[in-house]
Amino acid sequence: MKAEWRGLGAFAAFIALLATIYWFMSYERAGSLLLATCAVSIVIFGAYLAGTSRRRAPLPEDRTDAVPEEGAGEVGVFAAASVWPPVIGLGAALAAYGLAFSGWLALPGMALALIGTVAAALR
Amino acid sequence: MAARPAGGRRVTTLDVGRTIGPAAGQHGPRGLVAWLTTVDHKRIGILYCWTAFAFFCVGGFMASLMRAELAEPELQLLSTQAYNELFTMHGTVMMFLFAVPMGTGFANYLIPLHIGAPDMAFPRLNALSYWLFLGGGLVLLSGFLTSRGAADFGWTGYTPLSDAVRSPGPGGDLWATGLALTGIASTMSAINFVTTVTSLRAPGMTMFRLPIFVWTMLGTSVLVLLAFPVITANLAMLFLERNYGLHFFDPAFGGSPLLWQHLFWFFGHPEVYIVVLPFFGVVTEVLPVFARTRLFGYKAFVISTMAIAAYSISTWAHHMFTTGAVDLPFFTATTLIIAVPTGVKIFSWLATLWGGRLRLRTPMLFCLGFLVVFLIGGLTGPMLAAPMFDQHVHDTYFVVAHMHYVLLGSAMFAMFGGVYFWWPKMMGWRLGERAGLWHFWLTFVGFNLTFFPQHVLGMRGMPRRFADYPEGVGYDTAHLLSSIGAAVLVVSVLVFLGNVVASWRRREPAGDDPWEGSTLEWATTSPPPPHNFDWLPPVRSERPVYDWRRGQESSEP
Repeated sequence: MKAEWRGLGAFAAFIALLATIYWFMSYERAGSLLLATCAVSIVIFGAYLAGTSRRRAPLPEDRTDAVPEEGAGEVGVFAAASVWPPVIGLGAALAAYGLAFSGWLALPGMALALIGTVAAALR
Repeated sequence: MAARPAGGRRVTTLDVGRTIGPAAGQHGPRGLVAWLTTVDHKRIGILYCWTAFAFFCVGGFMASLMRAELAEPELQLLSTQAYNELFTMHGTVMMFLFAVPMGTGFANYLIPLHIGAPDMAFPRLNALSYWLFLGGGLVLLSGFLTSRGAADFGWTGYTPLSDAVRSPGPGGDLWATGLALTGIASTMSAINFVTTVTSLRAPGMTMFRLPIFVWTMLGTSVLVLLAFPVITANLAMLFLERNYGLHFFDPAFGGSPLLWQHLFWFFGHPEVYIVVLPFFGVVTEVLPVFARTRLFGYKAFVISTMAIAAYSISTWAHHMFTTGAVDLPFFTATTLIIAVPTGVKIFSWLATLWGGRLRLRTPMLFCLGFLVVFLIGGLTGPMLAAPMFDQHVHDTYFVVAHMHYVLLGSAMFAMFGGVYFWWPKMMGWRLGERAGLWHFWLTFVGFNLTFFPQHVLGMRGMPRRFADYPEGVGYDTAHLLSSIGAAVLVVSVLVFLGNVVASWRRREPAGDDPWEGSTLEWATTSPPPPHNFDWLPPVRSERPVYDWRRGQESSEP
C-alpha cells in the first residue's frame, strides 16, 4: 500500500501548493476554499491507507514475487442477486420527480427508497 | 488458443457465494429478472454501456435536428425555443449520460478482470449506481414531456438565466434533480473503483504492474470524488433558489452569479478529464496489442496521468476569462502547463507505434483515428488558453469545434475502438471486420466534415447557441458542410448497429484470446464465468498473459 499512500500524499501536497499560490495571486475565496478542501480530503484518504499499511504485513499484491496460490482461499462472500438496488433507484427517481412537481410524489418516492435501503441493509 | 489452462496453475478456490448466471446455475433468477436484479460487475458493465449508447443515440438525434436547422439560413424546422431546449439537452445528455457512464461501463466490466479479482468490492452499491444513473437520465429527459418544455438555459446552467424568473417551469427543476441523481451514481461508482483497485488485486499485481486503463480509471475516480460533490451542492443551491426563495446567486440579495460559474467549472473542468481519461486508458490498452509491442514509457504514462488529474483541478476559470473577474495569469499558466503531461501521452503513443509492427484491424483503426482528432482538438486548447485569443472566439463555433474534437473525438473513437476490441470477450463472438472498416471510415470522414468547418465559422464570428444566421456573410458554406458531415455520422452509427445485428446472426466464435492480448482478461474464457477466473497466470510484469504465452512457446520442444 506504500505506492498508494505516497501517491496520494504527493497529490495532496501539490494541490495544497496550488491553493496557496492561487490565494496569494487572486484573493478569490470560492476557488481557494475549494482547492484547500480538495487537499484535505485527499490527506484523509492517504492517511487512512498509510495507517493501515503500517499495521499489516506486505500484501501479496504489493510484493513483486507473489504467486497466484497466495491469493487462493476465500476472497469473501459476494452478494447474490438483489432486487433492492432497482427499488431504491425507482424510489429516488420518484422523489426527484416529486421535488419538481409536488410533495405527493416525493413522499412515496422517499419512502420507497428508504424501505429499499433498510431491506438491503438487513439482508 | 483455446488450450489455455493446460500449463497454468489452478487457483483452487476463487470462491464466491454467487448463485446467478447461466454458468453457475440452477438456483438464481433467469432471463429478464436476472438482468434486473444482477449485482455481477460484468452484467452491470454491459447494462451501463448499452444504456450510455442509447443516450448517445438520443443526444445524436438532437444534434441532427439542430444541424438540419442550421444547414440553411432562416428558420425552417425548429422554433427558437425548441432549439434552445435541444442544445441544452444535447450537451447535458452527451456529457452526463453518454461520455461519463460509457467510461464507467467499460470500467465496471474491465477493472476486476484487469486486476484479477472475482468482482467489485461493493457489488450492490454498483447495481444501485446503475439504477440511479438510469433513473436520473430519464428524469432529466422527461422535461420534454412537460407543457413548458425541457431546460433551455445551456448545459452550463448559468445564473441568472437559469433562475425561476427567466427560466420558469418544471423543465429546469427536472434538469437539476436528474443531474443530482446521476452525480450520486458516478460518486458511488468512483468509491467502488478506488476500493476495488486498492484492495482486490491479484497476488503480484503491484501498482506499477496495473494495466494503464486501471490507472486512468483511478485518476478519474479521484477526480469524480473531488468534483461531483461540488456540482451536486451547486445543483441543490440552484434548486433552492428556484423553488424556495433562497438567494445564493442573486446580487440583489447579496448573492453572486459568479459563484455558480466558479462552482460549476470547478466541477466542469475536472469533468472534461473525467470524460477523457478512461478513453485514454482504452486507447492505451489497444495500441500496444495491435502494434505487437509494449507501451513505450509505462511509468511516464502513469505519472503523466496523475499529473493531468492533479492539474485539472486548478484550471477551471479558463472558462470564465471573459467575465473579467478571474485571475488571468494563474489560469493561463495552469492551462498551458497541462498540455505538457498530455504531450507526454501523445509521445508515448507515437513511440509505441514507431517501435511496433502494426496490425490494422478495426479496433486499431479507431484508436489511430482517436490520435488524429484528439491531437487536432488538443492543439486548439493552448490557443484558447491565451486570453487575448479567447476574448475573440469565446462563445463562438471555434469553442464548439475545439470541445467536440477533444470530447466527442476521444469519447466516440475510443468507445468504438474499445467496443470492437472487447466485444469478443464480452459476448464470445466477433463483430464483422469488413463492416467495421466501413464504419470507421464513415465515422472519420463524417466527424471531420462536421467539426472542422466549425473552426472557420468561429473565427468568422458565428456565435454558438444561435438557431439562425444571416445569408451571405460567409457562414452558409461551412454550415452546409457541417450538416452534411452530421448526416454521414448518422449513417456511420447505423452501419455499426447493422454490423452488430449481422454479426449476431453469424455468431462466429471468437476464442478466449482473439487478438493475442497481454492483460489478465484474455486469460479467462469468453465470456468469463460469473466468478471471472478459474485460473490465473503469475503476474510478473504489466503484461502477464503475454509473459505466460512466451513461457509456453519457449518451453515447447
